[in-house]
Amino acid sequence: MQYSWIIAMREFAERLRSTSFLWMLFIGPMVLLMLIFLLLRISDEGKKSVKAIVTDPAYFLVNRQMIKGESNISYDIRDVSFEHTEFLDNPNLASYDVWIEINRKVLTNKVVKVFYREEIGVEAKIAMQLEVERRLEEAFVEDKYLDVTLEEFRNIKQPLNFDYIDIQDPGKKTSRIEGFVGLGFGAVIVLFILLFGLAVVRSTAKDKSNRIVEIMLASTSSRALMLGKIIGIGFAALVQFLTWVILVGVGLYIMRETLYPDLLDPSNWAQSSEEVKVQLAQQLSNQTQNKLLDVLYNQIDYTIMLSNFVILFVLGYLFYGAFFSFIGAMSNSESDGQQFTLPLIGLLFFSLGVGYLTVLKPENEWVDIFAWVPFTSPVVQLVRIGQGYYEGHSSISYTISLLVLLVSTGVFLYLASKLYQANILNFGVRTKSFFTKKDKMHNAVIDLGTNTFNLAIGRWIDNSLSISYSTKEGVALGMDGINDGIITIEAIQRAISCLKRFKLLCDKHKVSRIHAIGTSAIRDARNSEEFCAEIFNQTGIKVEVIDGMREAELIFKGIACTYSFPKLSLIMDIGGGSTEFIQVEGGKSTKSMSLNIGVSRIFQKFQFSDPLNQEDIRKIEDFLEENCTDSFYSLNADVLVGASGSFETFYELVNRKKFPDGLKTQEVGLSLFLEELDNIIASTQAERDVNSFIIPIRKKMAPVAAVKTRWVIKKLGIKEIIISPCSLKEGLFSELR
Amino acid sequence: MLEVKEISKSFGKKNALHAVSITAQSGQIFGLLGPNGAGKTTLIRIINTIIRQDSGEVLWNGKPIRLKNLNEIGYLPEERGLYRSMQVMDHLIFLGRMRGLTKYDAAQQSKKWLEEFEIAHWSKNKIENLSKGMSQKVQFIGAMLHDPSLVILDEPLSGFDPLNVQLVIDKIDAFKKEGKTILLSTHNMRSVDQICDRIALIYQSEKLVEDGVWNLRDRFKQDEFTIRFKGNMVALANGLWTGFELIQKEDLDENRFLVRVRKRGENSINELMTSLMNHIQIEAIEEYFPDMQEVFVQLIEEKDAV
Repeated sequence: MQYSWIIAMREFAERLRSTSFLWMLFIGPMVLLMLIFLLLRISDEGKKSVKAIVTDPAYFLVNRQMIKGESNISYDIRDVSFEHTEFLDNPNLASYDVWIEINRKVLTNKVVKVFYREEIGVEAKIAMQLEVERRLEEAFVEDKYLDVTLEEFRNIKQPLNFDYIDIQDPGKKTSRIEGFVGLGFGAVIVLFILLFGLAVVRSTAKDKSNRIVEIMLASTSSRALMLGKIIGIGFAALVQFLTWVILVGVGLYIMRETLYPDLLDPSNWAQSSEEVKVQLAQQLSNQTQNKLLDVLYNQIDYTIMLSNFVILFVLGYLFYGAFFSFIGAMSNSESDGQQFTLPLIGLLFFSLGVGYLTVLKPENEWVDIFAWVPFTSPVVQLVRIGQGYYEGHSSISYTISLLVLLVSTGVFLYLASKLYQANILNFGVRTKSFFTKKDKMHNAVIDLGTNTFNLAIGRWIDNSLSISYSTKEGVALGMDGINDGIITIEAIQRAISCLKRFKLLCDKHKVSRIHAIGTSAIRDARNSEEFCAEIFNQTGIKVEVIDGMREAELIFKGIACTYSFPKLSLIMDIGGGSTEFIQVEGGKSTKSMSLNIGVSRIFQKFQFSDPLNQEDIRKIEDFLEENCTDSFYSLNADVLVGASGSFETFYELVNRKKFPDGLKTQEVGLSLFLEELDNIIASTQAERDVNSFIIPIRKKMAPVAAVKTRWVIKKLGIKEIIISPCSLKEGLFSELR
Repeated sequence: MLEVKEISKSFGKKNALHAVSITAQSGQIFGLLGPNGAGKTTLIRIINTIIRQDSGEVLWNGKPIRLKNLNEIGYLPEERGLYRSMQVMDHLIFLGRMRGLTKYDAAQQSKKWLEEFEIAHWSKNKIENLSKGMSQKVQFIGAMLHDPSLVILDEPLSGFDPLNVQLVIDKIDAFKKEGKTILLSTHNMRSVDQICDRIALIYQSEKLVEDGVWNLRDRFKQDEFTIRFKGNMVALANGLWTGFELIQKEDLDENRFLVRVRKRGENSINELMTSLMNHIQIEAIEEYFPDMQEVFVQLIEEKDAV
């Protein structure tokens, strides 16, 4: 627990330092106050001109003159009494807005009931209240109901309570609006759980992505780390909440003092003693300005609401925090984490919905159930407390609900810590497989090369890549345009036609997603954007055009899927437009480059004889010398690892057999390899045309590729040759793992 | 003393470690070598109790390692991270407290280490404002400021410039002299040659070999000698007879060379020297022991051949 505390304090301090937290500390209450102000203004639009009937069977006010003053209230005082159904239904009484019921009990219970048909404005209420109170005071004294003088009475009297009742709904009084206040508190719980739960997700995912999590786990247990995060961020939430309470409280006080300043102006109450003025001022300031103000300033028991809010927030936050931290542990980045919080956000909003149901139908049997379910109980219970539900029901239900929440919180924190431990060190694997089952789905990768388009369809099964289908087509995308930086219309048509076939194959193999990668010929073409747009329009395939370094990175990753590079190695990938070189030391890529020395570029740049003569070979080698940068000459390797394509053809020619199926690398003796390169260079087009080991698209350019490979081997003093069937496509697959 | 006994660990169907045992003594730098994916990091995480082994045990000074022992371990993982928004000093104090130091002690130790690494004037700076090398220093300090007796370093030299590499190597050497047990995982074979006393090679989840560095170099030597001499290559060739063949040549300057020759048959080094003395001016001659890079490759090739 000591370490959880240290972690919690660090998290807490980090939140306090964050600018967004500080802003929310003050902006939140301001927004809340503005909303309350707005609600007050809206609810203040009650009736201002009022016609009141006063039933006074005890003759307190009959024959007394009610002073209208500046208010717009007329009184009709009658010495009768009636049931409220009569006031509701009797057409003779329909013209009265308000029925003020005064009976003998007022002497003892100090309650005056005021029934209204529609909400009365604040000003009218106050004027009415002052007037009735003043006349009653006089009546009590002058008519000798009490054996005291008016002055004496004013000194000893207790203020009257005016109970405003909606005649349409006399039984419910203010329960619904109080329920809404409870729901408001519940909404604040949901808001805080959501805001700070997401902070837990972000913080955990951030620790994972910047790898400090490993240092933390080497110092303490994953459970302590998780608890520390939840607690630290929870502290920040409580600080923010308490600040909100204080600021909103101050704001409400200021609003009360300034919103209706005339209410509290004792000069309006000329006939009252100083004590009564004070009493009335207190009463009026506390009561009945409008229903919302009444609830806000008078009827909410803040001690009960706030103490229960804190208890339910802490438990609710810890309960949901367990889920949030688990999601954080499964995520590889902050954004990754956020998308997985949607189900939790859904649950939080659901709990608000149930809270609303509780306001409308507090006795509904589903509400009883949700009051116990830990996902919804914090909100439902706050609504019930707001409604005063437990004043009429046993609070055992509330205690049990708290116990259920407490036990569930403990259980889920324990389970989450187990899952947290299992996932926190899985960088880049678990989230995807857990949620999307990507390892079960087929992906297609299309490499849109300068000469050939390659399609591979496969999936990851138990950390091993299984290619279920692959094919290649000669498209000659770079033909006639590569050295001018353009893809010709004919080439675009060939590409679209090929990709349409690939698309059909993908559909046949139930591919879930196609990843198409454009390389040298596309990235260097001036019309690459138009090309990609045309492809998308006609096939629906979105082509991602990558730069040379990214191409090199993917090639390295592809070969690294099945080869561990025990020696200092150089990967070479001969493309039509570019050739990539990646130096690998101790299993890691230490240098990489992409040079525009692809075979198609060379082939189209010069006129060659058939077979190549010494002058042709010199031209190719001179071109390579000119286009290879200094960094090329700084490459250092003993082993040349040829990446798929031309190298597979070389392998087949050396061994007179097909390249083995699967993704395993093959070794070829250096002398045999060089000998075969010489054979290819010396071969004629006719000889290559009948050679079944050379695929059609390579029949023309194989000698150029051979000259280039031989030149690299000699320049860099290569001692061994390894050929890998993997390349860019497999590299991309490795990222989809 | 750290003893790892018959540790096995699988992740699903993938076997990450199979019955791996190693023993690292106090005052010894123990190198943990192996290609990527061999299982080194898994082993290190098990020693640090970050993950739990399926079977086997890790003993520290004869007793099973537990969470409470973590304060005796200083661990610098390969993939490092820091809280970027924290100030250097605050961060170090936090890391020190996570290793059982009081706030005061953590502050004192941090101050001492920052001065030693000449970055004391950065103590009030935020981590995000530090260069990569500077962050590496902070990470190294954070791993060591609680004066651990077992030091576990995963690729400790990566990210440092040559000057700071030497600084870190000196520190590791100082730990050794203080009698700490040091477990070092690295791809940098030069550092293995330079500082490790003993190594274990993990390959495909299993331990291929565990031995002293010089024992291994001796095991894979091939009766080769390096000779630095003045003269010319023709004279050397005349001096060599069929009992030795030239393997490698390096021009040091105009008429100074460094060559490596391999013995054939039963000829001795004395006979070689006698023969050469009449042709070239020998400046230095010594038996050539393969470096750990070569040993590493040969061991893996032997295994693959099997």
